[in-house]
Amino acid sequence: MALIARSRIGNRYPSLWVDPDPTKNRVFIDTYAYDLTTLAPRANEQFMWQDRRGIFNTNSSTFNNPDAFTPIQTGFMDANAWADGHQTEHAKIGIFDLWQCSLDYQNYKPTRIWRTAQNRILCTYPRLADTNYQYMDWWMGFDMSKKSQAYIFQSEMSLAYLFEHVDSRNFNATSWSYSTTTITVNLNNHGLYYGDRITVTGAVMTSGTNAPNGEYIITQATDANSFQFTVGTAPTGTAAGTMNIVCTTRRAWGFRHKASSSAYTNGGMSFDMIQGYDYLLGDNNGSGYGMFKGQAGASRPYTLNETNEGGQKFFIGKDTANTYAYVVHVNTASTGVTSQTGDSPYVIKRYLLTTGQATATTVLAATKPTGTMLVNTITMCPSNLRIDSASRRVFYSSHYRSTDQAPMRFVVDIEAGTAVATQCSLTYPSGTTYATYATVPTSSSYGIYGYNTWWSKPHQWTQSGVRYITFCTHDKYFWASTARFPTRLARTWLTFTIGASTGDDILTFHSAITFENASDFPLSWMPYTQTGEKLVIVSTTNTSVWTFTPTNQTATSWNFSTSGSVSTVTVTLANHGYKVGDRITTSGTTATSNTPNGTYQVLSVPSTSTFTFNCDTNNTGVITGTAGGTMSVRSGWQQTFASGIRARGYGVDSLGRLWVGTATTGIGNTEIHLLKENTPYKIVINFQNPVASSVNTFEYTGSTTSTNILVSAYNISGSRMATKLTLTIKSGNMTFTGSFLSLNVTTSAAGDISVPVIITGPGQVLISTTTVA
Amino acid sequence: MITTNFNNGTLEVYKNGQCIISQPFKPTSTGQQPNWENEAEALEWWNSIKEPYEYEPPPIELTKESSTPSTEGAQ
Repeated sequence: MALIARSRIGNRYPSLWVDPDPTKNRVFIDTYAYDLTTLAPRANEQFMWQDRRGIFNTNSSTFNNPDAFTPIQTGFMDANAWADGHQTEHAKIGIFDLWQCSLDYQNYKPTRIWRTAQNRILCTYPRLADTNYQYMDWWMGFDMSKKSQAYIFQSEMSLAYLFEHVDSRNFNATSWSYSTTTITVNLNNHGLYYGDRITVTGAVMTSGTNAPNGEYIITQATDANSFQFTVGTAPTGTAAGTMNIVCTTRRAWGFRHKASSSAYTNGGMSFDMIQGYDYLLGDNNGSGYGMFKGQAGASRPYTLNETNEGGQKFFIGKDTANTYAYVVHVNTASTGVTSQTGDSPYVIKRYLLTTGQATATTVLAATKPTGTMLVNTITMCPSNLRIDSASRRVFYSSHYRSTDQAPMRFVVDIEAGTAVATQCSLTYPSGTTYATYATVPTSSSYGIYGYNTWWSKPHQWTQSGVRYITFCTHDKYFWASTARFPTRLARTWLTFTIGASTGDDILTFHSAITFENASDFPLSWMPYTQTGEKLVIVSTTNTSVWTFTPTNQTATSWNFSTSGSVSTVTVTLANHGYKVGDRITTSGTTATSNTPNGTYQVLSVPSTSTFTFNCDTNNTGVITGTAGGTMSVRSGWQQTFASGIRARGYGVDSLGRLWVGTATTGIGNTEIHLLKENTPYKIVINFQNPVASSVNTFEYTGSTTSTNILVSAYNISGSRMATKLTLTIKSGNMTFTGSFLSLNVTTSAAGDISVPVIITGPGQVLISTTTVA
Repeated sequence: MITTNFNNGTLEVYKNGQCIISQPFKPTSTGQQPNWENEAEALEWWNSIKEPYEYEPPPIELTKESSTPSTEGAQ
């Protein structure tokens, strides 16, 4: 791990922004620019939400001093692990956990910073929310290190950007008129806006001259059904002819949050769009072109106020014709549909993209599993998407019934505009059930409108040709309240294999992991790799990487011995491959009571064919009776990197690097860390032939002596790891072979490595180490 | 103001003159998309879901918080 920066400037926008302009290849950390690839400082380049004069833009909002959330804005995969209450407004779905807003996060990454087709950079930042609006600050310009073109404080417009829709329009106006040099064109749902460049043909002046044919810029989008442009010379006579308009217009689509109150009627998320954003002009200028306006009644950059549907929304995709966008809507609460409150029914809608209006069509009406649902406990979000073909996109729900997990499979054909929901069939190893491995969350402090800082969301991926799905949970406020996930069974994630081909509604239990200690339970998680087999998990005391390494083996035998309140199980299994600390899932055993079927961690590995784990009151309890049955031993998710850093904001950039924002442990307000899986927690260097009293002391007898130093690297768990290091001798009394003072080495996970050195003089030896990417 | 229009088998819902819903078939939880039997059936569906759409957020001030706008230095 590497501490990159501590904040030096207070009262500013987030600590890290990656410039979305690829030609710049830079990242701004604490406002200062660095090369994105090498992190070399870039002189005289700074992004400080500057105004049109290029002046540092201070503001009075305490939230924008990001001590608490320390957001990371890579524009690639960004998330946040911070909440200071059960319903912290900016810890809710889709404010900072943008990747979750898109089920197809590999192809559509929701962002708060993006570059438009016309080369403007737009940055948005959550500011505050009241009962009616979620307010955002905006910044727009051509170059993040130069003067802005506009900025906005506290706009009621919020947008988690998804995609820019370029729409070519070619239509005949229903009518047109003129008043001196102003031409008014009428067509219902014309879909154009201020700034759009149009080509006009077909206008005729009866008994007059100067028909307004040619190229013009729209100066006023009066409403959804008319717009105006200005000509140089006023027409004369009577407006006639069939006016044809050809134009390209652009709209940025995304999800908008409405308010903090989260009431169904005025809160929740909407699928929304803005127009005219390329033409923002003026700093925080509400009367000019510097502000978004929530209706088309004036010629200002325009936000479409999509209907107040409430609930949570997740993007599925667009059809190949770019006509419709598909969204799954998860109802959370309603003032009028109380039967849908609190058990997360799913609705799939499509939105028409081409008319400038997000006209909605319900493709699949509200659906949820059969049986008694778990209500008012947790918002049950959809998994990411698996694209089997252009006409078959599959995702899963994370529905809970009152006593078990009951997911549904959704198959969406976005070309045909159909969606089908099917309740999944779950199978567990013989003799076990859901209750063997896990239990449902507990209802506590649930906000009935669903804006809570905990929710469930499955994660599916394909690895070596096998489809898997893990049912993930997290609680951003868990560091302060463990009530929702109070037991180890409640803190367990289950992984299933997904049936092949179209039999993907059949889920077969694969393995499970239990976050034994409360401090280990995820405050937040996110895919680390785009292929899905690695996750970043943030807990109260750790930011870690987990890797899915599937095994499914049958033990040759097992037995146990009990001492006091602990039964130690010894498993005999040739070439088991496990190491101390590995998570395993067992089934198939029999005993009189407390059979060791469930989730455990390997306690010791006496040999390649045996390992042990403990059963005690912390898990399944002391075993009684005779060890019987055939033990199946499975494993899946394993923690493969741990940092000991408690992330708040975190993100993975396009280069696959994990950035973490934390509360400071030293001076300043916040810290930015760059974590890499191959970065060791501890490096140890000793002499190979030290004096007996100290491994750090070598006896120099007065003449040049050849010997070795032993180098090893360890992760935070204390396990050896292989990593590339640069060793640099800083003192003048030792060299590497060949008189070199710097040497690249690769440590070993198996043991120390020996590095030849030549001792040339007495005194203290100084060696520095640097991790090599 | 919200109005409805049933035309050629499609229910359209307008809010302040803007078409917010275009529903050419009866939505179901099974995935089937049968045609509306008649306008009454479509309106019954609309009445069952319309409450959230009727909400009108209160007007807001465009500039909640201001700094000193500058007219200089625009690119």
